[in-house]
Amino acid sequence: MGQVRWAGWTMAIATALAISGAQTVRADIASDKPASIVIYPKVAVDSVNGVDTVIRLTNVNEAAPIQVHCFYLDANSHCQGGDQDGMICTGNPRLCTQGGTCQAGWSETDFRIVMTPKQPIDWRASQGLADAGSASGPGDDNLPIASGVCVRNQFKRCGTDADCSPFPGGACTPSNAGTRIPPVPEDSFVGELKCIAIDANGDPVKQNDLKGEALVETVNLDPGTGPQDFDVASYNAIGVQGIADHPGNELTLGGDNPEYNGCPNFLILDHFFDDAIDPVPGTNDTIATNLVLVPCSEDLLRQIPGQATVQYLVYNEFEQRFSTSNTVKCFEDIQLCQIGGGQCKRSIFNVAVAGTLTGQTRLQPIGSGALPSGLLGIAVEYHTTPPTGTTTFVRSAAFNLQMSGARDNPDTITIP
Amino acid sequence: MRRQRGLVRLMGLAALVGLWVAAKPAGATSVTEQSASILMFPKVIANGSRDTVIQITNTSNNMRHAHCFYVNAALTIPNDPNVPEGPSNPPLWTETDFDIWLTKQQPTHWVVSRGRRDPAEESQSCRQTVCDPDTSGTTVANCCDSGLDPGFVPPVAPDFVGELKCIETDASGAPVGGNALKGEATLVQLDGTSDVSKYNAIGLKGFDTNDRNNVLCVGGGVSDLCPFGAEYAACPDTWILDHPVIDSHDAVVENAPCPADSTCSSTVSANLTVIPCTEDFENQAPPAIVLQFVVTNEFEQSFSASTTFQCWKSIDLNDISGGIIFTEGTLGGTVARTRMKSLLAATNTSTAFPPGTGVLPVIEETHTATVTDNTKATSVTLVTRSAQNAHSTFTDKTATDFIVIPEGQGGDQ
Repeated sequence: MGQVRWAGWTMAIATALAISGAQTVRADIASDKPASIVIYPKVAVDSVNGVDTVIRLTNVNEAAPIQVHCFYLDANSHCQGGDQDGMICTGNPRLCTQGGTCQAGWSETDFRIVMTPKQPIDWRASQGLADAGSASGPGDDNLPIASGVCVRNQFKRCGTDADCSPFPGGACTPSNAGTRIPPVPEDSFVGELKCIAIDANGDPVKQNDLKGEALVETVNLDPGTGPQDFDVASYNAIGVQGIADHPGNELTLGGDNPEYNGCPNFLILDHFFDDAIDPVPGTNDTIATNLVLVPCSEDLLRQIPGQATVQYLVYNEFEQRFSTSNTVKCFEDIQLCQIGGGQCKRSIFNVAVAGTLTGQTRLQPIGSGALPSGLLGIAVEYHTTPPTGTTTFVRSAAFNLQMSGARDNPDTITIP
Repeated sequence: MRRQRGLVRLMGLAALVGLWVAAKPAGATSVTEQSASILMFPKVIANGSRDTVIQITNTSNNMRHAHCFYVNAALTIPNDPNVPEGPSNPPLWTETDFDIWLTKQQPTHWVVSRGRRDPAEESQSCRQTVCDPDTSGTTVANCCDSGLDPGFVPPVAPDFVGELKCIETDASGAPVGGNALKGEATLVQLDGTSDVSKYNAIGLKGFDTNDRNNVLCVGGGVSDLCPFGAEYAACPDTWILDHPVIDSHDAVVENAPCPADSTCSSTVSANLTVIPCTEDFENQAPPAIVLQFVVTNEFEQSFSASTTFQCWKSIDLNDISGGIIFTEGTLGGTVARTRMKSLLAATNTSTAFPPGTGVLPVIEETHTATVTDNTKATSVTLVTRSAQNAHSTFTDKTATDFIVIPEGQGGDQ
């Protein structure tokens, strides 16, 4: 009798476990949760036009410091040959005259950050952040906690525990010692920033304690150089949560043996069609949207960017569907109506073609090229005022794309 | 025979337990980048100085319905500095509800101040005409309201400040967990600058445990009111807000070229808008929630503050706890990290449903640049705003939050 009861309970427990275990929990990339990798798809600097980007990065862990390995990825194009050889020609290929051609580029600059528990930091991409030395005090571009102090002698400054040895010994308080954030390598600069949590040996580590935001600011205060205007567009850095530690320089996102969450199968963008008039009474602005996409897979060691052929399905408010495609390699910041080539006025993303003010675009990246890749991204919506004389004002707002599903194939990030 | 029947019952019970455990994904909290079954727009303004455009999309390949609520948190006597918020001038906390339905993959939009109406004649496509914003939400709406009619969306009351909440339902109005809705809100300044601020709606994913009645169980476990446990993902236990130090300067502005014979300066501020996860639309009894803040600056120094709210609150950070903790004079530096937790206020009097303590926030920064011409003694002030969705930790609220839809408005009764 007792054996039967025991067997019955065992089978019952086993049944419960089997049913509950059958439910697979999918881990999704998110920009509203702390992560082990944070990706800032749009970092822009252009001092001539008053553009700069403020990067914020925070360690959300209450007790543990964190070390971070970051990479600026410069996606500028440069003239090759001709009389403008080496000049930045991003968005202006006609600059390359006398036989020169505008060639897309992709180069990385890496640096490390050491953050104390709970610490937020920020820096301007044009300036970076560094230890100004003992002669300088607090400042925008200086490390907040340049050095620690030995716990046993707080008059002795230190960067690591070893600095307190042999006397007075003991530990060094956490600090940002070892951090040096360079300015972006070029002005003007367009590209992304990627930061990966690492351990003391420099190996990527599962430590979901990073969160970040970026503020792309455009400012002109001098009426002599153009209309006085000031605009800030902010977005959350995209967080890739870590799942398992795996020492080595190749990070696997998604797939069968993931170390980090996988990139989405679809990106979804709700947007106004380009040239739509703002429907808010009293505005009459013209609206346009830029899509900023970066690949999930990146070989930073061999300087091979990820690539994807993107299928766009565009739905208007009549449920009518349009489609187009293009190829994204390394970085893309493109106005919607320029996707698929051709003229903006004839684009499926133009309000006069689509027929309604707003639409839904579903992006499916199909990996291609030397490094097939998924994509992540943000969108930036621009509102342009009607001209007053010859003057228009442009205000923008950035927002994160929605993500759906998980790619079958893993993405990889290879770091030096 | 009796033993076999007992064994079968035991296994059946075990199966039910397993299904209950399986139905609730581990660590399920709010989302801002995935489709969900409840969409919340914490900051909706249509008060003459700002207006809001709502965009909602059905991301599924089936028709979806939604039951939406505007919650008006404007003061009873708005815009009168002589009558501040208080017992003599409480927030309205009135709700207006409406239904929308979207065909497969259909996006829709409306301007909050105007709503959206089924025009007397079919609205013209934007292929034939250009949107005239003055016709938004009217019976003669042209291209502005072009698209498949999602249903009548009423305009909000004048001087509206509050939230919008949309709950996915089936055709009968019963709440369902289809997870097909996504949305965005665009706040537009009406001062001629067209300054815009945009954020993603906060979503709560639905589960298969929905019993389709008018009491929506957000997070938590099995109870008398929630016999199958949580029907929707829980609200997060802790929020993490990165924001500028209030009254600090904007480093980009400070380093921008300043005109000759002029002085340039800048300042930044941040506004927090928060709504409770528990909302009892039937009894109109908003719980009183205490928000606790721990603010940490770049130098790893921490300070604390708290405030209390009911129903909806939009507050500048420098107005919390006397306006000291979040400012440059206390924190120094330019950036701060704030951990925000919520709990029930001791003064809470809501008894109809045991209220949960979850909250959902949106934060908006305001950056101001001032150029003063020293020779002419004139100045120009440039203001821009930018909204962000807040980060949350992976920990859920353990107590259930409730959204109670008034009887007869939906659900299997």
